[in-house]
Amino acid sequence: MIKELVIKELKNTLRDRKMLLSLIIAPLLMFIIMGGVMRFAMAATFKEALEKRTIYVVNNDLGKYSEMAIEYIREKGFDVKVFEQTNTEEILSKEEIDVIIEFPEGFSYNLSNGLKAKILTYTSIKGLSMGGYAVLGKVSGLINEINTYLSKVLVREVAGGIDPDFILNPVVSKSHMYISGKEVPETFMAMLGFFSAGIIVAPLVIVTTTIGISSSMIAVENEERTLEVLLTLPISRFKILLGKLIGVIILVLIATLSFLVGFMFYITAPIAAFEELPEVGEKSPFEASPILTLFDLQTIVLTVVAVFFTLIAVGSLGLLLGSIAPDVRTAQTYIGSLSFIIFIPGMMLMFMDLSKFTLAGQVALVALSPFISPILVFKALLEGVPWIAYASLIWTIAFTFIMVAIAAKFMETEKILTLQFTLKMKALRKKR
Amino acid sequence: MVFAVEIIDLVKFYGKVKALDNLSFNVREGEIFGLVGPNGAGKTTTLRIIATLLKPSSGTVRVFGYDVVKEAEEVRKLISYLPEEAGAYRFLTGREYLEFMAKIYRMPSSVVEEGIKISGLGDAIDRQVRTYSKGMKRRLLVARTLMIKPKLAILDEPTSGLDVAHALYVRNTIRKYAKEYGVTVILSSHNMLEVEYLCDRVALINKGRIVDMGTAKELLEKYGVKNLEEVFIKAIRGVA
Repeated sequence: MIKELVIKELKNTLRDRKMLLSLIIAPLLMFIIMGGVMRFAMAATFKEALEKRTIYVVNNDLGKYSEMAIEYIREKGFDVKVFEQTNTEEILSKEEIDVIIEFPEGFSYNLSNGLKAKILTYTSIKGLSMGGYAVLGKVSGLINEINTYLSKVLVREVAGGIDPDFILNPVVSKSHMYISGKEVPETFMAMLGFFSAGIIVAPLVIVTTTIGISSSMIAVENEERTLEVLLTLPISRFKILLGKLIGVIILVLIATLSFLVGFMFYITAPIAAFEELPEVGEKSPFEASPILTLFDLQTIVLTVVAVFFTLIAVGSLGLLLGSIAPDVRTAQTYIGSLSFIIFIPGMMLMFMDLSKFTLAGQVALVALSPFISPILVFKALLEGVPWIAYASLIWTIAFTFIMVAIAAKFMETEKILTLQFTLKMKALRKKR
Repeated sequence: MVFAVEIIDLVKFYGKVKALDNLSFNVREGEIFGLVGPNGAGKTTTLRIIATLLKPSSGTVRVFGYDVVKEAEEVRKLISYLPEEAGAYRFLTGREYLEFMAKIYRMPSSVVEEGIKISGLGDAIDRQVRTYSKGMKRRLLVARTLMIKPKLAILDEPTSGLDVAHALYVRNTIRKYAKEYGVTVILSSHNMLEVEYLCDRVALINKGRIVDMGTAKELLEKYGVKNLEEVFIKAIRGVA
């Protein structure tokens, strides 16, 4: 009997183009488009950063060290155009020139006399794009290289036989990074931002999708006036609730799959952008790290349990909210105003470690955990605060049973049909 | 004697509003019983209570001896309810909708074919319900209600939204199912002609109370008028 109800729910929902669009196509397209744009933009930025371009140099110094620096830039493979004794701003006003390096008068004199010398850079940014910042980064990198090169020249001149590299870098660092007691490659740092965002955002989207689908499933029965017949069929109200919940979970799994495919494309966009550059010849800073090996079986199992109970809890809550809405649009309004309960703690968890919360804050997070349990359990176990994970899981399971019981009880009563009428009458009385 | 429907001193409040006021009547097995009255008289509330959707504030309602509150699940096995403004699942085809209902009632697939025949939808039965006109949808719903041959069919304005020809077809179908298959029918209607044509007995209901009850013939004779509309007007004025 439940099978028939579930099939009915799936057919009636998946054939609805609006639902199909918001459940499957929109998340997939959104991430693919965002990822595609990001990939294109980042590839362009990397390319810009790596491109050998013409460097315009104004040499108002005409001394030994400025000449050496200009030669060094040439040796780096850049095409160098030198202007001597010229007003730099006049040259910059020419459209095709966006970067000028100026060696001002006295540059070589200062270095020869143990004084700091200045290099002036002029950058004309045409737009506020990432590409513009890449040019700035490149110029600043080049100046650093010139600085190092001249340092070595000066060290050689002053200290004869000593290796200038030793003087400049007497200490070499080697860093080891640990997460939850397990060493991870340094390159993991580059992925960490994306990864933590994904760990938080994915469950938030799944939870809000679940509430959205479940509330729509019952609200559509009100909107299409099918609820009255459904409630008089020879099938228990609990089975009707169960049929809807199973339908919700299957739809959420489909939506999650679509979301994950899109999200994976999105988070791998930087790797792809880097790999598209053939001449890089070095390791991508976004190399995929063995992320999954970080988590032990307990963390994975408890997180999956948390996901399961959270889905049922919020699914039941969605059904309750949907049943007091006369139509799908109103149900979505109710859900919208509820989403802050999910997003505020979710966002806080994205930026803060659990140890940074006070005890009251941690308890508040546990209290809200039926909505954010997968995130909280995962984060608590990873960050070594297991009591939060266990408390969250116990409360989420208890909350799930309470929600299912309330939803089942509500469906048993006539309130499922009369509550909207009562609410409407109360609203009318208030208006008067 | 076990009545198909037995209503004793039924009272229903919506908040402070008394929708049904000590309503009492019986429906015999196999008969077509009509509830007639103006909007807000309490017809739909009565039918919803019999259909186990609403609970009485006080009084007793039994369907074939089963209490609609205490034994609601037993009652639901015997009834088939057609609400006035019912809809069907928009993205199922007409056939899928009937198949779903047949499975819920644990009926064989032959029932679906019968439902298709009752609906008269022809090839349109394989189209999604969202493409149906209001009349087509109503015919599908009537078919759904009758195809399972329930012990009690509860029909709230069964021909609402149907054109003359289809309304006549539905009336004949209701009559056929009552006479040939012993389906007891309780229906509400604004259409006095429909009630006169279909119903074995009629209850006139106003402001939550039964004003009068009997066969159409008895009522016409009692009030000395030619049609049920005049009966109704005289009955609510208390002129017998």
